[in-house]
Amino acid sequence: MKKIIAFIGIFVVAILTNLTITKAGYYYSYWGTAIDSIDPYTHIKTITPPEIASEIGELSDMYVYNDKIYLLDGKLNKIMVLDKNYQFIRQYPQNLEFDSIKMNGPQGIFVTEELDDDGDLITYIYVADTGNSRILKIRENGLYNEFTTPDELIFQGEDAVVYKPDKIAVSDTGKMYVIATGVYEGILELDADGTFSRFVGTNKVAINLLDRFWMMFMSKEQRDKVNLYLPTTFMNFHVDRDGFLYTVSQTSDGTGNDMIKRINPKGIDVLSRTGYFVPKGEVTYTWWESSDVPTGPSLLVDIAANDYGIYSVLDVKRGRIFTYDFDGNLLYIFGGNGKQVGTFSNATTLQYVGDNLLVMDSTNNTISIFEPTKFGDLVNEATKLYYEGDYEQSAEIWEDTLKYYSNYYLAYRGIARTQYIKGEYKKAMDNFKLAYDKTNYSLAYKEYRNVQLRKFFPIIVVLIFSSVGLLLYSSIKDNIRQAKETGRND
Amino acid sequence: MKTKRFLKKLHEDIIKFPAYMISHPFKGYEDFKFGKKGKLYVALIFLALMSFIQVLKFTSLGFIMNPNNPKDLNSIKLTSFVVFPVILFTIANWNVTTLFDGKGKIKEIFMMVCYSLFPFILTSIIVIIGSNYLTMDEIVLLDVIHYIGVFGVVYLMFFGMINIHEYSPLKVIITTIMTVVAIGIILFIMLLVFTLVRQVYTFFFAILKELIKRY
Repeated sequence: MKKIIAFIGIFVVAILTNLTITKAGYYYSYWGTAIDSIDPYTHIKTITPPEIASEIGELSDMYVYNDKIYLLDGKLNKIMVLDKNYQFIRQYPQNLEFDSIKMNGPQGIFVTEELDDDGDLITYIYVADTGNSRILKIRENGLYNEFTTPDELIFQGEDAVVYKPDKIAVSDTGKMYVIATGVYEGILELDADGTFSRFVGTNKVAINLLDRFWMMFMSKEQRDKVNLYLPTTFMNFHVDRDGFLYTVSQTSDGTGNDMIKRINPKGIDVLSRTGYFVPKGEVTYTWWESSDVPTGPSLLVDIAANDYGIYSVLDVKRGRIFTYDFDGNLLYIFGGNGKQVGTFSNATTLQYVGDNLLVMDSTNNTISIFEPTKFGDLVNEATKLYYEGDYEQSAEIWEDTLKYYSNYYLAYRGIARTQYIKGEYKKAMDNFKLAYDKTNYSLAYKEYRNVQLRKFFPIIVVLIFSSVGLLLYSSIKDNIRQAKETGRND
Repeated sequence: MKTKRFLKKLHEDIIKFPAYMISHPFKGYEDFKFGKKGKLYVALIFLALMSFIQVLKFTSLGFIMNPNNPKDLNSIKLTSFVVFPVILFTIANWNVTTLFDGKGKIKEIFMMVCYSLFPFILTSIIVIIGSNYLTMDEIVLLDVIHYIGVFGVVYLMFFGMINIHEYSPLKVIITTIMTVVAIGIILFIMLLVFTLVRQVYTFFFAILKELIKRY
């Protein structure tokens, strides 16, 4: 009887504990298959429209600067500022009717501090005022400057493109970077005074071989009627501390290998892609059309980076956030589309606040706040320490992450690297093997083999010499015997 | 004494004679065909060894060189990837060479193909053992050994066809190209047959399902 009660007790506890684990995350194994993972981030709060402001049309962009959250409303044409406790502080323009700032469907916002003539730091808000074809530079007391259509060939002449700035970012040097709709040449780089300087980071055009083959047989008239092959445009970007642009765009060739870029001030893509998978969101996905599963590669709409090289991308198709480290290793995945609290229906903007992540949903007009779990914290910490060069400390933290998630191969690699530096080659080999890191395994094995060879070298030498001696001895003996036999015969 | 003789014969058949064939291809294939030194059981052993080597390569290749997920191991698939091409080549080559008055019988062609695998089996063993003791920079050496094995296969097959069909080298090249075409045709017909069989099967299965649902 006691046993039965105990059994029922265990059973009930098992069910209850199972219920507390609501939704497990996933991660990609070395082989590209999705494996279960512990959640790296948890949803802690969602800010809904009434908490932000009394009236909200449609949130179009968000930017976080100095613990203040700047929200842009693309329908009611206003900027709302929240403090770090997500309480409403003020809005621009203060009065929608009478103000110099009249926007028309703005889509992008950026906030920065610049020194003015008196040497004071003043916060400026840059807004891509899409409908009015201009960029606004706003300060505390109102409009500071506006930059209209840049002096560039594509905006002039007969088939001119209407200048529609979509997203804006400003580097520390005051250079403005603008993504404009319908501009396929790349990101516009404007000087601090608004004059056009150049295009950066042009995406490549991808024509598949079959199309190219048919093109050969087309007449000029036919060719004119075929759809234009245009490079993919950028969706969004982020300027990091060093003035590098992290950009996301749609896939141009179907593989998605160039969806994420890190463009240096020279305009060259320098993103490190040394992880097991090229950073591109979803690694394996289905093309099988069905009603309940999205098909195809990720559709990345925003990217956010923090101070130690970690960057996250937002996939609007599946509502997931993928985080990578500075080497391009996939750190973790979380989020999802749905109707529950903490899921999205049209997530469009992603921002870091410290280590927390804010995700803005344009359809629901909500902002979801995600906080790292213990596991997420450890991963961030270990990556940060490794970035700063403190390998030993980072290995200790990787050890801790394994307590939470033992399939995490990055942790094994982190540990193995330190063991390799310390000279524990055998242990390093084992851990590199668990991490599937063949290059480093090879290095560790080389050292290990050298140690082994040094240990057994005398024995090997003795063996070689003795066997050679034995062979010589027997062949000499044979020869002598043969000589004797032939001698006797003669 | 009997076992010793047996082992000696095995050694003669499986190692000594194929090795002799590599060093003396014309003389070797003459013995192979007319001296009755080529034996069917040896050919089958080589085929089995080759299949086994493929499985071994999947599981036991050194960590640095091994691109396979151990979870995906399917020994039936690996074996059929060895056996099926050999049979396909044999049939296609026999079809072509009978038209081009080749003198080889189908059994001889099959044995020739299997004997040709011998150098590749040898080099594969070296590669499998070596890959466990070499670092990434030294792997190139194993690649070279691997290609030596592949070359050995081509070499033995080339001289094999010259001798078995009593062809000139040019004719061997022509018939080889024809054989490849024949393989393509065979595969195409097989595809047709399989799809047809599958359609017939689904048709009857649908009827059966309907009958079951009705009664």
